[in-house]
Amino acid sequence: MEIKESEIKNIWILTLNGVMDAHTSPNIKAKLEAGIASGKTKIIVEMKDVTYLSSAGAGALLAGLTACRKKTGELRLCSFQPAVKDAFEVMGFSKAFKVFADLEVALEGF
Amino acid sequence: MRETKFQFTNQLSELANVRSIVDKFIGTEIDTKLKNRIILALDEVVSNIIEHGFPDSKESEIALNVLVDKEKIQIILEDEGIAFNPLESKPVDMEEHLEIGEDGGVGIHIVQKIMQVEYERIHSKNRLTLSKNLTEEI
Repeated sequence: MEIKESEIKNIWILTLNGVMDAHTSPNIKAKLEAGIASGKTKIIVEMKDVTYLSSAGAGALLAGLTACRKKTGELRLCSFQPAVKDAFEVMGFSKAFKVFADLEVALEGF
Repeated sequence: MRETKFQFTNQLSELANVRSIVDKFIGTEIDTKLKNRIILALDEVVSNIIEHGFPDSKESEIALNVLVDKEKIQIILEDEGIAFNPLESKPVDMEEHLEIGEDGGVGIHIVQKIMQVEYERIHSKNRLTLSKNLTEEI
């Protein structure tokens, strides 16, 4: 799992590449929690290059969302591949998140 | 009916390999969307076994057997971890889980949404059988 980070107008953007399973997701969770602890509260996680997601991956995103909300911030997700979006929905996690079609839309009004 | 059997070690780094082998074995026999969900269910179960079955971190082999035909897929997992029946886990209220926002604890709940799950403890081994009738709508 590769994590690229960038910042646009005070919004922290994490672009993930690879699979998010029980083996790889602790890194993502740690990255999110460290960023939030250091004051990043507007976050977009770009999922376009994520090819697989299990509940461990969705749980890492949920932990990030919860930590972000505790600081009255917001975490948005965007650019899901169809198979990954299906997994996200089947697992029942989609209700908790704001999910956007692409990064441009996710940035609007943030 | 086609069948494949293999073993892997109780390391989370094996997950990608397990998914890949089962994906290739199923091939085009099952619609892609359903195949992906079945592989997700398998991944959830294997992750659970590896994360909770071996509190002493002892290296151990997990045996996987997949049987598939046009009507049914059956996945049988056997491990030598501590006795653990995932079907006895507390039911998950997903809305509450999302509200609390904790990481983990929903794997078996997800598996049961996708496949039928049976558990047996036989000769000091846990045996989990996941099955799915392929003639049903998903």
